[in-house]
Amino acid sequence: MATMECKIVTLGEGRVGKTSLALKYVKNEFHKDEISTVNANYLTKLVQIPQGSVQLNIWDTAGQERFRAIASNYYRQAKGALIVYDITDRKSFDKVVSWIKELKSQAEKNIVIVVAGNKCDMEKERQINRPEALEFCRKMQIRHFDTSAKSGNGVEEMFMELASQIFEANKGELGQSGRNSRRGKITVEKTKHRENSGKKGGCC
Amino acid sequence: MSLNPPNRSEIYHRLSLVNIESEKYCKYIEQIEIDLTRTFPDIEYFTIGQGVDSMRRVLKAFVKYHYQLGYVQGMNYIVCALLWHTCEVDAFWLLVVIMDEYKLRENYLFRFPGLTKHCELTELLLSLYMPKLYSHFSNHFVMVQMFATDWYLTIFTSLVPIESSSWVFNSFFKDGWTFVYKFLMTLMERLEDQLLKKNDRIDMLSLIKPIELVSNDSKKFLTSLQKRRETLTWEKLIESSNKKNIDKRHIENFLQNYQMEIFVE
Repeated sequence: MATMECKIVTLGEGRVGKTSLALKYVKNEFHKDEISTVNANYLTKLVQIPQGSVQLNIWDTAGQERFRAIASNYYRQAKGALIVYDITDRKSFDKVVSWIKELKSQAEKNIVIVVAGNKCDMEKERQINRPEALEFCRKMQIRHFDTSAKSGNGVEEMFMELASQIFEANKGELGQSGRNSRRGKITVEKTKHRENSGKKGGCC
Repeated sequence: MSLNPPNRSEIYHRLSLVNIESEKYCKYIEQIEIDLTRTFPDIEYFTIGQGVDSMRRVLKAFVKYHYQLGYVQGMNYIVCALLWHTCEVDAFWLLVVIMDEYKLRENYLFRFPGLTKHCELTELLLSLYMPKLYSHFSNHFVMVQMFATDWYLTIFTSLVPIESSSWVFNSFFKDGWTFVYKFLMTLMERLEDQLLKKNDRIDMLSLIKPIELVSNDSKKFLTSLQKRRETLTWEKLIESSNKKNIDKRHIENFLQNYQMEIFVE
């Protein structure tokens, strides 16, 4: 069976737990004092879903405002995006809206977005009502997950859902190019040549 | 050092008395607070020790001194590394020198124009000195910016362990950005054989930026640079990169013809 390879990107305010979620999922590790991300981290994991397998290449980005100006360098060609907010921080939730808007207008047309309300182990300090978050995501037609990178709650499910939605959204391409691919592995990233020749500078 | 005035201690302490009330300033201060204890979480001095307060004071003073630039993530690493080796006042003024005289400031401006410049120049040098690796990178759409951004924003203080960072500073003060290019090329040379075997962009990127670096653990990375029967240290690595010969004319020519784009926020 062919493996679908795809790039996903983590987005969200600083210190909401983007790196922690990626690290928990890929390495099952949690560090209480995660270091701040400058630029990006690269993580990768092969996910088995009922329909096939997906290799998630995670580009984990920095959260500070200044880095936001170059975020498009990272989500370019991404098939999926994980937008993270911290349930104990109202401001981080407000930023989710603008990330969704930006992705819908700037990113790949069929990009799959999921939202994570992280740090759900800190229920007592919660600032965003669960129903509010759910209602918001329902309107946007985006799946919402309560996650805790600390306990691992919801992390596996979220990435599985992301992988299977990406698989569904891109399986057309898998069928077409899968026949020609070597080693049964194909790359779903859009024809790289065209993407790259027209653009100057920036990364990816 | 012209930017290191004789009354530098007084000026530094006066900066701490300056009061700024603006939304922009508050944002910077907020971000500094967030980053204080998560720059070197394994080093007590910077988590529960006096280093936290020193770091806060130096960064705050810098934001006041360079209000237009403000605080950007990455500066925290340089400040910690400086504080590890010198006193607070000197750390502050050395930061100013690095930013202004050595133009690290350009890297931190909106949309990081200096970073783009340095990365493009690095790519030129790779194409001249390591053509095989360069074309391998191009074929797989690996760009220097994808892996060198934090290294170039922090002049490698986010990579090199803090106790060895004095070697980084010494080389940087002596050779400026040429040291940075040389050091990057040294790393690439040592990874070249492994990189040429990889045919997947993410595999290459995670070889250059292994997951352990996410938690400041550069030991495994250093091991991956090691040749057979060699015991490598960061000091040796820096020393060997200083011995590297690159024709400075390539750099001068590039910079002469380069027009940096400055963006307005």
